[in-house]
This record gives sequence, C-alpha cells and structure tokens, in this order.
Amino acid sequence: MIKIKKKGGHVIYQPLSPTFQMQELGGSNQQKFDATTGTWKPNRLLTPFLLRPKLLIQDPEDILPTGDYSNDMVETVWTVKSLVNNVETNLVLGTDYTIDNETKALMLTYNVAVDEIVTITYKSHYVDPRRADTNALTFEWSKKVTTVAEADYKVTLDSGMWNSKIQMSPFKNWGRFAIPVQLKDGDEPIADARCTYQWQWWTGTAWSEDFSERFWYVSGATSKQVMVDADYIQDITLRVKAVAYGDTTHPLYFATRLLRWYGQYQEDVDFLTGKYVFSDSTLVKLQGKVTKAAGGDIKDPAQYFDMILFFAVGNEELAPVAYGEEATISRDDLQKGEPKAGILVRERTCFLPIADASGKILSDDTTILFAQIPTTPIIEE
Amino acid sequence: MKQYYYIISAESARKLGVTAFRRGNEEKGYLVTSGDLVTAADDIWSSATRVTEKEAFEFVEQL
Repeated sequence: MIKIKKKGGHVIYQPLSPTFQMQELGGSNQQKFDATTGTWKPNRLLTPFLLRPKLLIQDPEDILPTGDYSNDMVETVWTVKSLVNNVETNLVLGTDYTIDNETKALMLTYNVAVDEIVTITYKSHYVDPRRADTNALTFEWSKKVTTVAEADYKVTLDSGMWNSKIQMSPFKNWGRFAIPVQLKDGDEPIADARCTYQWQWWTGTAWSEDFSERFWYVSGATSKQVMVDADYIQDITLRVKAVAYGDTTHPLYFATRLLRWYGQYQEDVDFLTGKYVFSDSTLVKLQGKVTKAAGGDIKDPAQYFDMILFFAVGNEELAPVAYGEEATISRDDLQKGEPKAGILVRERTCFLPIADASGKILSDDTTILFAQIPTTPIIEE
Repeated sequence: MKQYYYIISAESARKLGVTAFRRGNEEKGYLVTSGDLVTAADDIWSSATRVTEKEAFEFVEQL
C-alpha cells in the first residue's frame, strides 16, 4: 500500500479588535445607609444593580461582521465575595445575586453593610470562530461594592458652656468638676443607648484612651460626662469622640484644653513696722501681698504662691528673711542705714506626683507623694 | 439628594430603557427610582406614581 505523507499549513488571521466594557445599570457600586431609619439608598432588594458585560468586535479582515458579541462569550465566571472584619465569605447565587444565562449579566440584589466590602470579579472568554481551537480572548473585570453611612438628620455634639480652652484660676475653687457633652439630633438629645462617647487625652504625640496614672482623671472616660480634678491639672488637652446611631464613619469630636492660669497680677511688700527707724527701733515687720491686675488683693496669697520676703539695711544685699506673707525681723543695728524690703513671688503648679531620678513615682504602695512646684525661676539681679 | 420610588407603566419603562434591571412586568408596571426618572419626559413623570419604600416592597412581592 502506498502511504501519502501529509503536512498541514495554517491560515493566519489578523487579530480581532475587541472592545470590552462592563455596563453598570440601575445603580452604582456605592450605596448609602441611613442609620436613623436603618434603610439603604437605593435598596437593592427593590432596585437591583445590574452588571452587563459588553463585547464589541471588529475584524480587520471582515470575515466576522463588526458588532456585539456579548452573548457569545463562554466560560463566564462571576465571583461575589463579602469581606467583613477580615472574614471573607461568598455571597449566595440565587439569593444575593442572579446571573442571566443568555446575557451573562449579573444582577446584585444584596445590600452591603457599612463595614463590609463586596468584591465582584468577572472572567470570560471569547473564542475566535475563524479558528475555533485557538485564539481565545480573555476578559477580566473587578469592582468593589461598598456602602457609606449617610444621615438625613443633623447630628451635633453640644458642649454647652465649655469651649476649646478653659483657663482655671487657682483662686477659684474648681475642685472636681464635670465636662458634659451631648449628642443631638437637631435640637433633640439623642438617647444614651444610641450613642457612644470615648474621652481621650493628648500625650503630646497622640490621643490616648489610657487614663491609668492620670491623677487628674476621676471618672466617665466612656460616658458623656468626664469628671476631672482641677487640683491635678496643669495643662492637659481632652477630647471626646462621640458616635451617634453606630455611625462610626462620622464621629464627632469636642476638644478642650484645661490650663492652670493665674492671670495678670502684681506683687508688693509693705512695712507694717520699721519703715521709719528711730534710735530705739529694733523690729521690722513686713507684709507681702499680691494684687490682681483687675484690682483687689488676693486673700491668703501664700496659699497660691511661693512667697519669699527679703530685707536689708543700708548697703547690704537683700537677703531672704521669711517664706510666706509675713516677716518679722529683729535687729539692733537698724540705724546703720535705710531699711529695704523685697518680695519674690512664684506661681505654683498643680499637685504633681513626686518621682525619683529614674522617673518612678514615689509612694509607699498606698499613698503617692504630691507636691506643688514653683513654676517661674528665680531671676538674680 | 433624596431618593424616592415610583411605579411607572411598562411602556414608560421601555421608553426609559430600564426594563433590563428594574423589577416589574407588563401588567403591573415597573418600580423605578427618582434617579431613573431624571431624563424622563413630562408624560412619564405625570403618569408615575410615587410610593413609599413599604409600598415598593409590597409591589415587588406581588410580581
């Protein structure tokens, strides 16, 4: 028998010119969620979101007529995955979405939660009918579907009388006091059960919610009213993060700086006795005082200031003679020159915990040692 | 912008080109949103019936 040896050739076609797009119909990849009514806009159970693949092909050799080949795509694979708190699950075909067998369009009938991301991916092929066994074109597409919280209501955070800076005069008895805030919907307070409040304090580099060893903190870090103690406040900045209706994407803040503030004042020293020195004078009494710039002496100034009284006679250098408001000097040489008195007044800090050189706060396990430290340095003249 | 639901006739739905992705049928019409009606002509607007979300759900259940 004679065998014919065969050898095949190939027809070379110019590549097709495809244009692929995913038509998004009936909505968008983003919904809005109204937390007050618990409704989505739009609600995809009522008005679904349609994703329809569209493939237009142009054949440079005009073997295939130019036109829409969307329905000729094969091996179409849609995946619809939900991600919540880093947990991924597949949405359910037939319940959360449907796929049209003819058009391969996906109809999403699923409402996405605010904290959820739904990722839709699409992959399909088009087999070039000029050579059905080769030249399959692959098309891929992906989109994330999310929801943003929206409020038709006007939620505000009312801080009442408090503003962004509170100067606390040590001359007034602040003691323990509360800073109340209130979330409001319009003019109406929002029920506490539908709000969360979290107070924070500024460390200098970040907001902290750790109130341990904050001696000025009394209570209420997670309530709408934080309680603090002015005796332990030098200069702190507090902030409350308030969330209404669980809408964590739109927290409201109120921040306030609490500052120990002495204001403007003037110190002076008077001679109660000894301003005029007689031949038998041996006693001088000095009285230090502090006067507010607005007028009026501060009562018991040594309660708020470190006060040092100075005295000298003639050409002597002023020398400290008493710590406090009053000084009594008994000298038998007052006649050697003009008497001179001086006063140095320094503001005191709030009560600060005493620490050792390493920064460790000193205590006897039950009691922490606190002190008020003079804040302004002594200026030597 | 607030969104409302409307029921429009099947003919109006075809004119708007929304039958592929809106719920409805020839007999009962189609449920659309105010967004779908942005480009609608006056005659569609005048024949559209605004419904609440609750009524919209009832409409869908009856399809």
